[in-house]
Amino acid sequence: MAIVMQDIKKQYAGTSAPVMEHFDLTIEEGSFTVLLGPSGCGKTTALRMIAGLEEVTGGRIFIDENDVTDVDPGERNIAMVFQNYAIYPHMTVRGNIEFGLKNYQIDKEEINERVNYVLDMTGLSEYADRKPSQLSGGQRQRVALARAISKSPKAFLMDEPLSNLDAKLRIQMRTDMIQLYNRLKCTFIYVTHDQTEAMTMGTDIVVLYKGMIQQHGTPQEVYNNPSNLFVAQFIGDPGMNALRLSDGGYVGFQPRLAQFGKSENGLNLQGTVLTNEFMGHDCMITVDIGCGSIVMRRRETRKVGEQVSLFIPQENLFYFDADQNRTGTVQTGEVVSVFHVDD
Amino acid sequence: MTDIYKKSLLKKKNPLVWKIAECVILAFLFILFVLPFYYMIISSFKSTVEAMRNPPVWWPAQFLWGNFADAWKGANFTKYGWNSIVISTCVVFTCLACSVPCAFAFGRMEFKLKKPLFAIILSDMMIPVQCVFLPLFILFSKLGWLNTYGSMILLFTYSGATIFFIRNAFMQVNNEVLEAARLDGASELTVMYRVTFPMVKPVVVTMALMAFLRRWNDYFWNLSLTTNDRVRTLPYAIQALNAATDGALPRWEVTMAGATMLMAPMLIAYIFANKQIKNAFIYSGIK
Repeated sequence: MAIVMQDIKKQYAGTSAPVMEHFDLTIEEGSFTVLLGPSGCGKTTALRMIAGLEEVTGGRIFIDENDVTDVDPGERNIAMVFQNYAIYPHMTVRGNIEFGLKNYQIDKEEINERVNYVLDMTGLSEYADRKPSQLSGGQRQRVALARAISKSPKAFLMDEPLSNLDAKLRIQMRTDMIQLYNRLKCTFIYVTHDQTEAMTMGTDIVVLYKGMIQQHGTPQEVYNNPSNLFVAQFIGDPGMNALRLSDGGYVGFQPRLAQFGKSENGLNLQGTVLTNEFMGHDCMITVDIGCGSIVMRRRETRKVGEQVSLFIPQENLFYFDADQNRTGTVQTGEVVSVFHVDD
Repeated sequence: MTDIYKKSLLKKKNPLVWKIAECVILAFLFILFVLPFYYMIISSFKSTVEAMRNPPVWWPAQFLWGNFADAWKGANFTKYGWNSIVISTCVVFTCLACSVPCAFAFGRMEFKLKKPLFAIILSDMMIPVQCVFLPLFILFSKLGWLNTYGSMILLFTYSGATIFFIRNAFMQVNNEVLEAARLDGASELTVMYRVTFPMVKPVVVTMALMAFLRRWNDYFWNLSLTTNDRVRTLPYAIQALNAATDGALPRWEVTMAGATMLMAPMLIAYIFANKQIKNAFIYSGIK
């Protein structure tokens, strides 16, 4: 048991409602846990509370069974990597890494040893004496990582560390980060709103929405077995299509599992192609089905304006009850409208 | 209907007319600000007659360097200059030593009564010194601090404007950098001096220069907190040059030579710190 948040409440001063209440989360030791959710869902707040940068209004936080709720950030034995790198602009790369170690009054030889080790590990040895302004975005983020690694922390906390990098570099850093995790095998807590990052990197995903945990599971569980409509629509590229039924329930299906044509056994829909976006491997096709539009991902293309019939096999349909929670019961109502959780 | 979208929002302007107008305005402002300085410097080379002549003489017939020697001797530059240097330098250190932590607290820390306390500091910038002259005089008099370096230094140690500008600079430091330092185990004092202080250095240097300048040029307190010459500074001595003519014609050229010498160190400092000062004023954030 590495990190436990117990019955956490968080309310900012001057606001009438808490952003988080009765929040319980256990992060297993050695896991790569991703806190995933849209803006304002409380994922960064949760991370900052673990770091000690944000005070909790109620509840306790434990790291390795020690209550750290009132412990200073610097005493929690954790390291954090920020979105904007947060490296010290007036210090060299070496200075940035040394700064933390000096504060812990480690002797000089050990500092040198640690700094050289992390510089080598992150491929920054030749940049050791440069200032951050002379480095690229990717290198700056590596400095932030090196600084974190040098402290040998119990856990690494990362707040959207890749969001400032361009698409290509992001994929590269993602791979680097996975390798780093495999090498260090210590607890990683990673905040992102990018579900692709979450799926590719995490061993555990915690999906958050409106300050509440919607689902906590492996990427496979969250993708293949969403516990409610929010998770179903948030996970996936794009997320699940959902249709509101006349009996109050919902039926959902993943874009890549909708097929052109008709079938006896499944959900049949008809509509007009609105857009057809070429994605390389396949196409993202938006179809207007009269009561809204749904998205499909298919390798075959259709022209804009074309009338199409499509079906989703029965085994690929997901059912949700009126409270938007997953249900095993087949809902039989008529399709009323297309539904999006944030509507 | 679509025509309106084709119309560019950029208005055509006549670049030449605009440029000429710009040059005229800038030239006028340049003359307005530089002329007094030119007149002061050029007058310090004139003869007594030239210095008094109306209409004014813009270029002396002969450059009399001896005026500077007369001013140096007449105003006892060695003695008053020493007082000026000691007091002004001390003011820089005491003022920054008080203002930087104070600005950090107001800019980066949360505490009770922060807003009203800061309002009090700001309000100080709006009160003319003459209003507080009497209570301060009485205070220093009761403390027995009249005619001391202490009173001259202490009075300029507190500066609302310095706190205000450094606070603004501290506020622009990215919060994540401070948080990273706290996570790196740094105390608030370390965060302030080792992390944020180097990032606001241009502003601090400018404020140091301002503090020095304020004290260096001060005449009012120089006169009101002293009753003898022991701790008085240069502005008083320069003024005295003009008064000590014993009925003869006032030697304006000597006074001007004194004023030029008084201004010279400041001018040199400005030339060297020019970039820092500009940075301080356009300071808009740190990447």
